[in-house]
Amino acid sequence: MRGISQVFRRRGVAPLSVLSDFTLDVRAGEFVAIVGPSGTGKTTLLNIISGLQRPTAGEVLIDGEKVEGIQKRVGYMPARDALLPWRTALRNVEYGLELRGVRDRRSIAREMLHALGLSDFESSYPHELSQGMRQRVAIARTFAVSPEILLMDEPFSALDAQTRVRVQELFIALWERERKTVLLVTHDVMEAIALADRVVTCSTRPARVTADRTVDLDRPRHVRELIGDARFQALLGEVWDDLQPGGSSEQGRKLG
Amino acid sequence: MTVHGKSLEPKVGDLPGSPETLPPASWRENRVQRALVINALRVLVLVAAIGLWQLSVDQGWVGRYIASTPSAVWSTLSHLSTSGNLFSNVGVTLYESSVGFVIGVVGGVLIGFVLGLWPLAHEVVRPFIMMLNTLPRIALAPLFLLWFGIGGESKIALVVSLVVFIVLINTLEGTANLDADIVALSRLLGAGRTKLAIKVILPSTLPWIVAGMRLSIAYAISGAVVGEMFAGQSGIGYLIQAGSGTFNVPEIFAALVTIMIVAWIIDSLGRWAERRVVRWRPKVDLT
Repeated sequence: MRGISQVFRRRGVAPLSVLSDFTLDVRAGEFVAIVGPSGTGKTTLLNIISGLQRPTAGEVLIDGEKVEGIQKRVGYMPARDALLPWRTALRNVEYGLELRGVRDRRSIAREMLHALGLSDFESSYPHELSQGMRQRVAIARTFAVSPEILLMDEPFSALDAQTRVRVQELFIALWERERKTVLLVTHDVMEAIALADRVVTCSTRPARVTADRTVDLDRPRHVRELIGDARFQALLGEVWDDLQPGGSSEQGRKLG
Repeated sequence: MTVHGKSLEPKVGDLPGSPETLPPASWRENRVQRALVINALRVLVLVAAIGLWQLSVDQGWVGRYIASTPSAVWSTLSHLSTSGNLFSNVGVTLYESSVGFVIGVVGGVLIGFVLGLWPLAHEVVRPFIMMLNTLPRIALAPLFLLWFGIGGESKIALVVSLVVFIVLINTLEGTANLDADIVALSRLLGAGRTKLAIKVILPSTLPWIVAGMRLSIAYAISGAVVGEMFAGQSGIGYLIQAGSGTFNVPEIFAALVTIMIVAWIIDSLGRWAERRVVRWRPKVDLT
């Protein structure tokens, strides 16, 4: 990545006042999780960053450049896998590469599927795969185009508990190898702490940042082992406190 | 019995679901046997219905001149087909319905895409589409006759007027069911309007279009037949009309049986084509 820092800035009052003066700086290669109750405009925030939606006020800067229109360097992972049902797993992973005219897309797609343990399911259609497998295909598709910035909208929320941990582990292993800038939106506090470098909590609508904590857990991380970790549990308590309306905690760097 | 040195006999510790330990499947579970049984039952139903028909006329329960008999219909059919009369009339009806079908499908899909991707226009014309669609199309037959003459064109117009709305409404339904996540994701991946249309909108609308096409087959044939009954000198509809005019009930039935068989063959082909086009869809078994 070229820039040293990336600035995401959003100041604005949408008609429904979904976001209000939401300001956040994210460094290149950093993994930031945004935690907040459902329906607080987290998806709106991601849409604005990706350029799909224009903010009422405020601006988003990537590498100091103002976001105008669709951002092709952004990779997007929605909660539902959004796989094309008429394409096989392999062709779904190829999809983004195909739209961008990449030549050796087949081998890249094969590699990605292999990394996610799906080599045997290359020619399966999405409806033939389990939820967890489909989400893994979606991860493969996202990483295949190697985006500079990854926007993830509750990407694991549709999975059952066991599958979720397994897919999270696959994802974090892949991320620790590639170190993209990630903005993960979630309502799952455990997930946020387990995966991210920083956890930002936000209030109910209109959403603004209420706290910003650094997660100083070692990498590589293993989601399952973290659950028993004392530092992890302490953070869990702190972030939960941050999420309480008006709640506070002495150690937290409180904002707003 | 061994294969590659491995015993195929059930062993202690084998999973209960392994094939060797399953009880023999009944015919309900064996696909081939099931299809055989169902087809045998179908033939039985058909034979019984024809038998009942013949019997009720032979026994005098129903008048011979009203109901005719299967044997009379059969001899009329063979007479009509050896004289070449039947096939030429079937050919005329098929020609009219297929030309009308193609025009109607192409028109319906094109209008459907334009309206589906242009919400303002859709909003404006929606009530008019609905009004036109509720119009009984048969009522248009006299008008088409005046406009296009008693030749094939007036029948084709009637077929088009039926097919175009079915396909249009299905296409609109398909474009309305686009997955917003897929569209957003495709745009982020760099898809412009054209690529979006080709790679997302067309394939995701295709099942709806194909369903509309299959539904249209029966309407296309009906449209052509009804058009022929109104006016004309050929086609299955003409045979029916002529048979009615001369009290030739066997000829009417012969014409009806012919339409049924032809429509059934075309529908089977359509079903096969539909399965091939939308192979990626999950199969829903409601039985």
